[in-house]
Amino acid sequence: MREKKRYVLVEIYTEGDVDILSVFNLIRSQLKSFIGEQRFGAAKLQFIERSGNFMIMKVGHRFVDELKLSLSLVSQANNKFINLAVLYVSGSLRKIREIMRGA
Amino acid sequence: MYYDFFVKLRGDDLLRGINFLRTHGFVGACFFEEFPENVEKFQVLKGVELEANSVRELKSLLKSKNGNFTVLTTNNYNLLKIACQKGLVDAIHTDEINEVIAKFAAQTKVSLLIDFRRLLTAKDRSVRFYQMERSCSIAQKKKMPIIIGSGATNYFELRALSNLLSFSRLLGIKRYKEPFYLPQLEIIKREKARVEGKYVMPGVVIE
Repeated sequence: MREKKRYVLVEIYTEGDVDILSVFNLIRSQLKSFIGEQRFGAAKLQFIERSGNFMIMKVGHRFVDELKLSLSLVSQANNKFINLAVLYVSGSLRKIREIMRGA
Repeated sequence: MYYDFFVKLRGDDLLRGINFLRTHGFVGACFFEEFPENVEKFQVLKGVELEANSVRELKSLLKSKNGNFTVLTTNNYNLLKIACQKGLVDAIHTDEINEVIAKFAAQTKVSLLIDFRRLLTAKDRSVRFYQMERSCSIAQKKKMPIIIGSGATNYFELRALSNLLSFSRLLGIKRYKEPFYLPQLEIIKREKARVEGKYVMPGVVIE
């Protein structure tokens, strides 16, 4: 059976520019340490796209809360303070892109 | 109408922080370090954090410091028990609570304050998360109010409402939105009555 997914729109607040892939890797490792390797596989976390200060990620629908907490637990990237605030969670990529354009 | 009742911002971070909280779902906050003035469309309260190790010390601190929301930060069991039994403070900020403290706190409406920063800065997050989870489960069992706050000391430690709601759900709180508005609204109501001169003592308000 096809598994349900959720797209998460995140706003990035930083002191300067940060490498988005290093931020994503931090989120991945944080989520992995929080839920464990076995459940991390089921979460199917993916980076979709970035536009300005916004980032879209894809995750299994049962792991949205865990992802949000992992985002909250990331406080530094590349020795710069970082704050990742979740703006919207949706099941369709089109809807989340509309929200991102409007924000 | 959700509130972040544990913010310790100061200086330039204050206004930036208020803008962040406003855009991310909060309608008010309680500030412990510096109190912002002339803030529009955002409710601000003054918080007082008391660090004491004996009842005498706590009572003298209560006389000398004034605020809308009083928090006792200690790990002294006897002091926590007495503070909850007599309702000396509005909330307790501690690592762990037990059934006895929770039962007294439920009677006097003293809340359990969960500080997200404690988890963020913990050396062993798993242990800290377990302590928080366990305290919340005891508080729910004994119907003790719970307040969740970011505990931010700088702008980048503030968290959006959506993130904190997930934190609340993962702590096992069944009514996961209540820690962001229910005890806070009662405190706001009490402070309003106090300003109007209608507040006499806990449970007694002139109509």
